[in-house]
Amino acid sequence: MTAEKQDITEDFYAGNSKVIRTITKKDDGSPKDISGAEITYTMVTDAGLVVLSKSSAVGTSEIEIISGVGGEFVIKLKPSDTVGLKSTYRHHANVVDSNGDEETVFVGKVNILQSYARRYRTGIQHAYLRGS
Amino acid sequence: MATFTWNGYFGGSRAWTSIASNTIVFCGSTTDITTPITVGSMNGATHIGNGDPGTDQCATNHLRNVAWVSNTQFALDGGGTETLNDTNLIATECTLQILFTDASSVATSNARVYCFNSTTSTTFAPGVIAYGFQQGVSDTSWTKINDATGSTGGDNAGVRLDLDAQGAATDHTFYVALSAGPQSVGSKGDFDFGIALTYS
Repeated sequence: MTAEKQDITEDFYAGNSKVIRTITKKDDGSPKDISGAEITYTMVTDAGLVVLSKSSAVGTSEIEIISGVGGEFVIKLKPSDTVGLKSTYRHHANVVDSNGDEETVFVGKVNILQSYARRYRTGIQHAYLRGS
Repeated sequence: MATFTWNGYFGGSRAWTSIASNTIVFCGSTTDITTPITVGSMNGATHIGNGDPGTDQCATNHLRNVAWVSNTQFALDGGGTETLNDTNLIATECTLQILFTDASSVATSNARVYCFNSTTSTTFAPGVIAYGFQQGVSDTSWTKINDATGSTGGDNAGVRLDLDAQGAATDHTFYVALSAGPQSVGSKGDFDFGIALTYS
């Protein structure tokens, strides 16, 4: 079952770490078994330009199934994933279960606010010359 | 912990090697690190010294010498004049490879190289004219990063070499050519290069 309007409209700043926790459900409201499933997450502009993509096939560093039978997984966004983003985007998560059946499990909007806080580093190298 | 490493392409067998706590020495001779540069001329050679200038630490192959000829031209290692671009000046011909490394994958922004007086990052180095160029970003002209006569230099907008932003990675590499010359007679030891950036 697709959960519509799963919007994140507050407290999402560019360049922040973010974990999106999701429980996938069947039409009757019970958890969908996602054991062995491949999960993808994508963030796109209204024009369809993909700005961010995550996949459980890459590893648990991107998407981790917390409970297969409980239908629970988390999407892990690193600071570098969103550091250049500043707008409202659409986001989707798709599950391909162990039978090969694909389903969009949620859709919604994400409003990413610009963050102005950046870490700062400087380095120095001494030089020399003599004029004659 | 994020760190910078300043590397030069020098040594017994050329390889990118850390300059560590040594000095970038601009001088007038490929064989004698103590040879001065005539006022009004640019670097005839570039070495790694262990002081001001100290003794040469380069071994067989010295640091690349990229000399400013005009705002769009350079001379490499005492050779003929060439047009400044990424084809004529490749990465391993640059004065420096500056590495920025972080344990996490990070994106860099507002990166710049500047020249200053060794104590205050926004103050120009006295008695020195210096130019910088970033290789690999399709640039075609030098940026004047220090001009003591005009009292310009330091980490100030418009008089520093702005480096392109880089996407997420644990290692960020900036290839930079530097050229310098004296504007007056005497030693110029209040003379440092700095790099600064923001990242997340």
